Amino acid sequence: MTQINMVQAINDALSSEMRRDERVVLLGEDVGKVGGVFRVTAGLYDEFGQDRVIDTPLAEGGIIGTSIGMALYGLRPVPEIQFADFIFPAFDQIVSEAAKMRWRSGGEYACPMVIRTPVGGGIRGGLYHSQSPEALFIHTAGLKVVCPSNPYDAKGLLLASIRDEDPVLFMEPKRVYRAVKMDVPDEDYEVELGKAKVVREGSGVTVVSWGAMVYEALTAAEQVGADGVDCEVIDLRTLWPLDVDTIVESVKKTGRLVVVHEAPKTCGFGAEVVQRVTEKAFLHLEAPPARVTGWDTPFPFTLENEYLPLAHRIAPALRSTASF
Amino acid sequence: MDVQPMASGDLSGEVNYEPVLRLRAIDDRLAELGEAGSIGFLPRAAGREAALVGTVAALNKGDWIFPTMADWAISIARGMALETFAHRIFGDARDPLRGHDIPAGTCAKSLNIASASAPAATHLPHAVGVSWAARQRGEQSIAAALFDGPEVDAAEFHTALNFAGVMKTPTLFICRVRPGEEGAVEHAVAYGLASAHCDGSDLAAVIETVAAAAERARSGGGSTVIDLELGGPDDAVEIAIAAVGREREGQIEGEAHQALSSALESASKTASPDLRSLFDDVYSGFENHLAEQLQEARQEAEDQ
Repeated sequence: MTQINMVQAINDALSSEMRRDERVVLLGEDVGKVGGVFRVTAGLYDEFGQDRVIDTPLAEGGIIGTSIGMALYGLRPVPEIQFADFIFPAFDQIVSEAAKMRWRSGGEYACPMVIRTPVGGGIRGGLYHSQSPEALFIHTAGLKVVCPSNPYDAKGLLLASIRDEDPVLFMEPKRVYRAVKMDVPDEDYEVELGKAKVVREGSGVTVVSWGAMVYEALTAAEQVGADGVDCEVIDLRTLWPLDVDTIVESVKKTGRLVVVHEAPKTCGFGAEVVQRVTEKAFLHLEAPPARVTGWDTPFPFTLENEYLPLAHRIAPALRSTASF
Repeated sequence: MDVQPMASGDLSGEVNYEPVLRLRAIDDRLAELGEAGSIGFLPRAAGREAALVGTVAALNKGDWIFPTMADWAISIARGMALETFAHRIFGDARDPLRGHDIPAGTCAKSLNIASASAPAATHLPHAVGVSWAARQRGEQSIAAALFDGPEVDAAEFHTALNFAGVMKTPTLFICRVRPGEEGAVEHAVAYGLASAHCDGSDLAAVIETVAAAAERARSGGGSTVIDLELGGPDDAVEIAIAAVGREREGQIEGEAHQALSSALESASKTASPDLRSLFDDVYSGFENHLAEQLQEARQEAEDQ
């Protein structure tokens, strides 16, 4: 057990899995000699060499497209897209090719690969270093989408993702990268995909979130707790497939739901979470489900704290939902 | 999969033109059935027979082929049984792709033929990735990506050539160029790749050109961009008829029509795939939300 941050936990998962499974290869822009723009792959080029930690040309469609070929061959590629904001040149490869490969080939071919990419704002990165495009990928049949909120989950979810037989989009909240340290086992372990976690128990309002916003939800829950609003906070961890049961079970207890995410509100994943709960627990609801999200604008540079659903924006929503 | 070998024979022997004529006969009959509305849409293979048969003949069985949807006939050229192909045509319960894709959605893992998709040139980087992996594992297999002149405009064409040059992969980029099209070979130099071109209707020329590029790739010489220049739709067939004679052409056509008719007749009696198959193969496992939707779909079917 060692106290490490999320960057170290992901690096640990990658290196241990590469030692265990020679099929695992990393590729992307500057993942090799430089060790990645956030240093997540630091040291791996020296240990595993240029044939397993590959510096690629700067063309995201090519990074994912060649990874698909490697996966078809039988390798386990883990491509990195430097920022999720840059994933769109590879959108066609991800949604038209990787996601559909198993289905369109009647199960003859598969694309087991993990696309790692930093997401989210709060680092003063402006509109091209801050986005959270999860909904675009959840909407695509065939992809799994994962977003850990802490170092322990990051290591366990990444190991589970690399060993999964389907393509996984692994979103790393860059605001959390070095902000949180916690005990992480040195040994191998998996956090099962598709399982949410109740990170704070409560009976008054269910709060669903993921990634960096889990901390804001927890802070807001503490704030309103002083006023007698008792929140249960759920960290989804895997966004798709969604752990509906954990959310519904909680809402049946609380009767109230607030979903918090960084991405813009309209057609954001919060809408889907709300609708699933409405379908399965409508008669348990005592207030309209609420969303606290980014606005329907591009991600701003200056007014970052006004855009992000931080605790100061979540707390009023919790109070109004609790008192409805 | 049941395999009926149909390759053109080994390179040391004489060039076998018969598969060119067999493909044409099959293509003609499928086009008639398509026009009559008896089967779904298939793009015409006419004009590309020598390019497909020659590519198959020049490559080893273990080499990967990444076709476009217009190259559905490559599966037959590489040995897919017509019975299997007929089930593909109908997308029925015995279709290897379970009715998930249109008949042109070529795919046959047992023949090392990758799954074709419709977006332009997206399969070219896949060929680079596969061949990189094979080389990295010390294997002799290479990959050939087939595409057509207009795809040279697509971003992924240039991306794939760039990656192939940087990663020094054993990949063949085989472009079928029709009259008036620009072709791919002029771009090879920009990415540090070799290039070659030949008459794509001339089976012997195709085999020689592709085989030379394959040999270069296998011996560490990297990728080659190849233009197979096509003329009229009948050019390849006329060269083949000149080689085998009219009489033999008639026999090949008769045999192919009979075999295809019999395969289609038999396949046409097969039931549609089960509703469950719609939800299979989305993921490796059967996820809960799909299980729920299958139940909904079954309920809808029952209520109707």
